This record gives sequence, structure tokens and C-alpha cells, in this order.
Amino acid sequence: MIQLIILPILQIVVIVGLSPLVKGFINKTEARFQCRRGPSLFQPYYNLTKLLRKDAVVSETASWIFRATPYVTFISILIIALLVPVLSSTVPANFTGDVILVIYLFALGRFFLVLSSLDTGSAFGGIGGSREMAISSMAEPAMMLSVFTVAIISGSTNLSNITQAMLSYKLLSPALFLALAALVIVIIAEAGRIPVDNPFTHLELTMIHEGMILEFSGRYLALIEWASCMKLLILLTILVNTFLPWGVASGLTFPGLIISFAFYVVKIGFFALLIAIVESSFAKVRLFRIPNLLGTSFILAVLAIITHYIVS
Amino acid sequence: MKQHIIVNSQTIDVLAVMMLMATVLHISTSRLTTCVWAYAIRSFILACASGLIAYYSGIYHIFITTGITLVIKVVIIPGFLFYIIKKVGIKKEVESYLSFTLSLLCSCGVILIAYYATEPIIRFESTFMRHCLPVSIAITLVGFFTMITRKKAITQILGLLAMEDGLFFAALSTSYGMPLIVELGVFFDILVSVIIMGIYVYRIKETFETTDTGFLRELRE
Repeated sequence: MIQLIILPILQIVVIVGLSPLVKGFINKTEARFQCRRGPSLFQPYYNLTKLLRKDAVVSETASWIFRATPYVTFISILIIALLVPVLSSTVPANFTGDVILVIYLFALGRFFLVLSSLDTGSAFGGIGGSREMAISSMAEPAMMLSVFTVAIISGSTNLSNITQAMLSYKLLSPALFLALAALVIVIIAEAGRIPVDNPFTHLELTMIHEGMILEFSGRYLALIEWASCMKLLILLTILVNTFLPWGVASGLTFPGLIISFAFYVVKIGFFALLIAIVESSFAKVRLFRIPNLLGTSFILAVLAIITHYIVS
Repeated sequence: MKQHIIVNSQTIDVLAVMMLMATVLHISTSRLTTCVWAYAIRSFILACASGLIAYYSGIYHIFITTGITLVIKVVIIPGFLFYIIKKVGIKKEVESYLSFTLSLLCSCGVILIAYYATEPIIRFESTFMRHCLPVSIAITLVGFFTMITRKKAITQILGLLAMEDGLFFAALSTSYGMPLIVELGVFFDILVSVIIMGIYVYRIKETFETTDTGFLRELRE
């Protein structure tokens, strides 16, 4: 009973509540690397509350898809938040689906975002949408393969079982190592971070995600921004809790959850720091070079599976 | 003791896979300096692996080869290649006869061939260092592949060096390395050949205003 009520609330609070903080942390760290003081850690929260209070301006030519998109995106990400193990290896919505559902819920949100970017007839939206689709068509196979490597090793596609199985895996095996490297590259592409997409730019020719959401304003924009913060946090959560599930509580005891939360914060902080370092030290690659990056990730994932099948 | 060996063989396996990842970096990057960095990183991991193998196997002459690897392959050869790149003033990126994506996919295929070819051998092997043989064969083949498909002379040198790395690692992981005198000879060979090829790159550049070896096939007055 407690598990039915407490765990979903806890997961939603952690994912929804902490995701803007992760963004703030990355922004602050990058500012530090550039010798600036940077905005406060809580700046994303201020932005979101400001946007939520404002009214949305919707183009006259926009159809219902445009109005539905923010809700579809937000809710699809919210459902994913219930499907991944965050603090405990038990997952609230365990009975509904596995990692394949997670990947396709991401795809659903993205699909609606692309539709709405085409909906208003803005040229930038179209460019952003087509680029997003091109990139995701390359990122998705790599992501699937690297997640499937873990699924094959642990013998289940259910994220809860994967975490449970990985908890007993003491050392990182070579196949997992390759899959981890592949997934890191894919996460950077999926979350629209720097070698692939610049989240700060509004320059016409380079924006991808920003181009798609250019027509949104007010509370719609707030929902989409929040959803993209949550997407980054969820991707990082999948990464740390499937590949490095140290400290994840296997039961639902109070001290266990506290320890698990401390480990979680440290691990997410480490990967957020890694993203900030990568963003500060690399330039955004040219659009036509992105297939090389994602192709590399795909090859690493293929090698991971082959390594597991042939050698182990 | 048994547990000890399993743990350290897994460490060496992970190092082998890291070498493979450095090789993938070598084929997937478009910058010449990153290629050289990939070589330096792979050589460093190779030195770590050979140090571990020396420590756990108790064959101490491998320590000597580890030290020479660190000095020659991690410091001298990459430093020399950086010096040549600077001196010749190569600004263009890596050029290949195949398109980039195609060459990535081909290298992936080559690596898969290496895995399938070594599968019957490692199937009957004990658990000790099972990943090393396929990885070393893969590095050798990928080095060969980059030698064939890349246009610039420096990238061809890097391909040769990758082949040498792969062979060295294969010898090390299957039979704890060759006799010390052979290793020394190979190191000396590789050092001299890199220096000779560096001079050769410089001469090509002086004669043709480019380091593209494709021009060597053209007849000239």
C-alpha cells in the first residue's frame, strides 16, 4: 500500500522538482568555466514560474495540435518518470511497460513537438523539425542497441529487473563499458546538448530544438522547457541506474531511500559536470558531421552486443 | 588466488576494450591532431595493460617493454608526429577515398570480421583475457584499412602504427610477449620507420605542395 502511494509521489517529486536544478547546475558550471559568475542555481525555477504566470500567444493559423503539444510532451515525459527506477529498484508503473515503452514515449513527445513546429507555418519551425527528425532517426537505433545490450546481459527489458540484476554485477564488464560509451553520446544528442545542438542559441541556421519551440510562449513554453529539463534528467537517471546502480535501494526502507538519494545526487551531479565540461571544451559540430558522431555511437553499441555474444 | 586472476583479467579486458574505443575514435574523427591523440591514448592504455600483464604473470622482462612503450609510443612518436604536422603546416582535415560514414561502417565490418575469425580460437580458451585476441586482431585490421583508404601520408603512418600496436598486443596477450630482443628490434624498427616516413612526408610536401599520396601516381616531367 505504501509502495503504491509513496513511491510514485517520491519519483515525480524528484524528477519534476530537481530537473530545473540540474539545468541550473550545468549553466552555473559553464559560466564558471568561462570566468563568469553566471545566473543563480535556481534561475530555471524563476524562469518557469515567470512563464507559467504569463498568457500564451497562439498563431491564428495554428490548429489544435499546437495547443495539445505542450500537454502531450509534458505528460509523456511524466509517464516515463514513473517507468524508470530512480531511488529504489522498484518501479511504480512497472506493470505497464519496459524500456521499449520508455523509448517510444520519448518518440511520442518528439513527434508531437515536430508536428506543432510545422503547424504554425514558420520557416524556422520546419527547419528545426526536419533536423530533429533526422538526428533522432540516427540516435534511436544507437540508443536501442546500447539499452538492449544491458537488457541481454541482465535477461530482461524491464528497467526494474535490469537495475536489480546490475546491482549484483560487481565489475563493469567490457560489453557494458562499450554500451555505456555509446549511450553517453546518444544522451548528448537526445538532450540537445552542445556537440549536437546548442541550447542557448537563437541563431537561425544552427538551432534545432530552439527552432521547433520558437512559436511557443507563456505557459506552453514553460511546459515544454520543463519537459526538456526532465528529459535530460531522466536520460541521466537511466544511464546511472542501469550502468552504475551503486547505492540504489532494493527495498523501500526510509534509511535506504536516504542513502540512495545521496548516491543519486552524487552520480547525477557527476554526469551533469561531465556535460558542462564537454560543452565548455568542444564546439558544436557542423550539421553534416552529426552522422559521424552518432555513427560512432552506433558502432560502439554494435560492438557491445557482438562482444557480449561472441566473447562472454 | 583464483579470484585474483579473474578480477585482473577483467581489468585487462576492460583495458582492451578501451583500446578498441581509442581505435574507433581514430577512425571516426576528422581532425588529424585528434588522430594522433587517439594513437597516444591507445598506446598509453597498451602500456597500462602490458604493465598489468607483467605484474600478474610475473614475467619481468615485460616491464622493460612497458617502459619502452611509454617512452617511445606515448611520448616520442606522438610528439614527432605533432612536430611534423606543425612543420608541414597541414591544416586540412583527414581525407579519405571513401565517404566518412561508409568508412565508419566498413571499419565496423572489419572489426566484426576480427571477432568472428577469432571466435573458434577463443571458444576453448580459459577465461584469462578472452577479449584481448579479437581486439588486437581488430586493431590490426582497422589499421590496415585506414592505410588503404586514407589519402594523407600522415594518416597512413598512423594506420601502420595501429597495425603494430595490434600485433604487439596480440603477442602480449596470447603468449606474454615475444623475447625481449625481438621486442627491442620491433621498437627500434617502428621508431626508425616513423622518422623516415616523417622525412618522406616532408619531401612529398616540398615536391607536390600537398601530402596527398594520390599525386605520387601521376606521371610528371
